[in-house]
Amino acid sequence: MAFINLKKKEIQVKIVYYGPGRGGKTSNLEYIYRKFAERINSEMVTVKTHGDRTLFFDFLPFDIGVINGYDVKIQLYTVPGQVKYNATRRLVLRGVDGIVFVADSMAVRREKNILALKNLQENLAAYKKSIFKIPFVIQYNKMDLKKQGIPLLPVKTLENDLNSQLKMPSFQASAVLGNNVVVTLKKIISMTVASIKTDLG
Amino acid sequence: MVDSKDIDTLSTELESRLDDLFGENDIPLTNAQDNNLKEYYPLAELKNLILSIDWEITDDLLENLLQQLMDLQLTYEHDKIVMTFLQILSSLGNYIKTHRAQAHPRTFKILNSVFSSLDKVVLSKDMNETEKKKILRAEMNRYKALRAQIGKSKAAAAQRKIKTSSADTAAPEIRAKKAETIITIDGSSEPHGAAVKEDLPVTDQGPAVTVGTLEDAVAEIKRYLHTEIEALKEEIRSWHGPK
Repeated sequence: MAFINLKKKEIQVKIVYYGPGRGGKTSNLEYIYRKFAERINSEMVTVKTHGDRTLFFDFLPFDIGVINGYDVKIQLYTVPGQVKYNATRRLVLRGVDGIVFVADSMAVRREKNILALKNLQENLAAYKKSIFKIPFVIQYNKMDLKKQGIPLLPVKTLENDLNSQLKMPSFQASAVLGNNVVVTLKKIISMTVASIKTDLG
Repeated sequence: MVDSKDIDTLSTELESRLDDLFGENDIPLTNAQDNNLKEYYPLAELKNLILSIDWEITDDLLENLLQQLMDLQLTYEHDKIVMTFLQILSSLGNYIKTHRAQAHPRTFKILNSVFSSLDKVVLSKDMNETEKKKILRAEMNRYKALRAQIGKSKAAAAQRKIKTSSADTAAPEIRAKKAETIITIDGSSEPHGAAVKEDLPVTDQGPAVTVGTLEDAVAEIKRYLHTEIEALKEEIRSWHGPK
């Protein structure tokens, strides 16, 4: 549940980018931060290993201003994708309001996507949240690799594997090039804020 | 209670705010920012794993390394030179997995060297095939030299073992055989690398996919024989034991 300060008329929304390791979660946040740094007037916090992997999480907070009388603050997080960091992933999910699942479209990552989605479902369940009820957007990342001749999964396969039951909005994207990064972000913010507003009622 | 009209107003207001904040058309990335948005680097994971081996050698790490090399072989199956690099790395990875800290000290140096050359070949868009082959040949020679060294030291160790223990005759044979199979450029690099074949000393026998399996199998047989020999020794000891 979002942090809501009725006295200050302030809402904090927590959105977590989840997905398999090396799928592009951090790249999503980096694109947003680099492209809109001046407008969002914020700092991105990131802790990486020597091999450029997310060790703990990335954090990008920004304010989208007053909407319907409430000052809406968005907090974007990523989780470490490596399997061994499940405790950290679970911790980052605490109090999550919306999820962007960043799937890796490379053919060789098919199984990892499915495992990551199952892992998300389990970790959400630990907080008594349902993957079917939380605001959720799926991003099929790395679509740019097709041009380099790297085998990608057909979107139909990705949808079958990851979204046949969820039936959530999904986007094909390239986080390094910025394609559909913002569309994904806008969608999850809209869905999450609308959901919070409904809950408030 | 929030009514649907309220939600609609909120959505419209939110959409408009998000459009203002994240409208992409009017703010092109500066060159500096563009440089920061690095292109996808397909060897990033492999680099991470190879760097990690400098720090520690764990089961997980080696499993991930070999898995990553298999993934990359699928990705680069169309590129014979890259495939050969990956096969050398796989052989080295399998050897390290079997021998851990007892692996020949030069193995880690050569692993890093082969990766650096692979990195150069993958990243250099202007490099022609001849240059790539030249780099590959140099790495191949280093790799073969290492293999020869390992073979010699293993054979010497086996000889010592034969001299010191007549009961252990089976094990050194296995070890000597293993020394021959520890690092081999897989034969499949040849069909993959038909163009490379003429120029490169990719000559060892055996299909690519079986090297890991073969090593595992040899290790398994070795363990099995070792256990059997130990059991036999115990039994012999019990015959000659206290009467």
